[in-house]
Amino acid sequence: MTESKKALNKTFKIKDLGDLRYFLGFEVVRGKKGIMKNQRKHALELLTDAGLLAYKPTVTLMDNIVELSFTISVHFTNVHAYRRLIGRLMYLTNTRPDITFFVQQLSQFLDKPTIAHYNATIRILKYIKGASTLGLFFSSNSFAHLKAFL
Amino acid sequence: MKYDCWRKAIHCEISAFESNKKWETVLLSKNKTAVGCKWVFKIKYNADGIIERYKARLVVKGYAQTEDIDYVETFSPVAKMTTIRLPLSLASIYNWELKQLDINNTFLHGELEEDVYMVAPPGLTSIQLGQVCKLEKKLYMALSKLVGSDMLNCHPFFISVGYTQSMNDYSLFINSSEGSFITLLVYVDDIILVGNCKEEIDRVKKSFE
Repeated sequence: MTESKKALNKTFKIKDLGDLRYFLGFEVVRGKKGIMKNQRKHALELLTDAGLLAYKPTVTLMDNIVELSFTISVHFTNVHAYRRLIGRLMYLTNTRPDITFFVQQLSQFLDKPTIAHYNATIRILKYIKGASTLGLFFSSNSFAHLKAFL
Repeated sequence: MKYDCWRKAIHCEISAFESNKKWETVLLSKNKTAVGCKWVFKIKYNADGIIERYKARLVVKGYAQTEDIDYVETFSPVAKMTTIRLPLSLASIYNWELKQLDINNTFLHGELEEDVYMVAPPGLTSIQLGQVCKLEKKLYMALSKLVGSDMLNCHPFFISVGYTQSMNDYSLFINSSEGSFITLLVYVDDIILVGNCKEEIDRVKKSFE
C-alpha cells in the first residue's frame, strides 16, 4: 500500500497554485463579506473576438419591439459565427443569471438565424460590455440551508 | 524554428517525455504502422492578460484511429457546474480554506493497454534514421481513447489517501473525520481543495509531492 502510494506520488507532479483565484475561466475573489465569482476575462474575450470592444454599452438586454421569428427578416448568412457566439454566451450564463433568459430565447434560432437575431445578440454583448464584472456572490452571512423547489 | 521561446518550449516538452520514460525508440516491426504527430503551439495568458508562458504540446494524430478497433472508450473527468458552486458557498459561509492544485501532464498518468507507435516528432534529436517512438504510456488526449483510463488511474489514488468518492458527482471526493471536513474537486487536470482544516489540506498537498 505505502509502496504503491510512493509510486503514485512519483508519477504525479503537482503544482501548488495557492489560494483559488482562477479556475476554468472563472475568477474567484475573496473578501470579508464573501466570495465573488465572475467571468470577466471570458466576457472581455468574447467582446474582443466579436470586435465590439469599442461599442457603446446599453443598459437593457433586449428591445421589446423587435419580434424574433424564423420568417420575419432576412437570413443571417454566417450561421457558424452566430452559433459560436451563442455557445460562448451560454458558458457565460454560469455566473450571469441575468442573461440566461435572453440567451435561451436566441438559442432557439440556431438552425436558421436572421439578421434580427444577430442584432439581438449584439445587443446582449453591448449590455455585457456595460457590466462585464458582474458575477455570483457567495455571502458569508447566509445560512447553510438546503432548499428545494418543486 | 526562429524564436528562442518556442524552441525552449519544445525542448521542455520533449524532456518531460523522456525523463518520464514515455516512449522508447525502436525500429518499426513489419505488421505495425506508426501514427503521425505534430506540435501545437499556444501562448498562455494570466487572468490579467499578461503572457504567462509559451507552451508547446505534442499531439498524436489520433483521428487516424478507429473506435472499437484501435480504442474502446473515451472519457474525461469533469465536475458539474453546480458541484463547483457548492464548495464555494460553503467556504464562504464557514470561512474555509480554498486552495487550488494543478497536475502537470495529466494525460501522462495512465497505462497504455496496447502498443502504439508514433513517428518521431520534429525536434527530437536523440533518434536514428528509421526509428519510431514506441509509446510507453499515454500521450495526451489527441489519442482520445486514453483519456478514459485517466479517471481509472488517478482516482484510486484519492481513495487511497482516505477520500470517498461522491455518488452524485464522480469528480467530487470527500474526506471527513473528527472535526475536519475536506472536499476535493477534480476537473481534468485542475484540483480544488476546500475544507476547514489547514493541516489536512497541507497533508493532501504533501502526499502528491
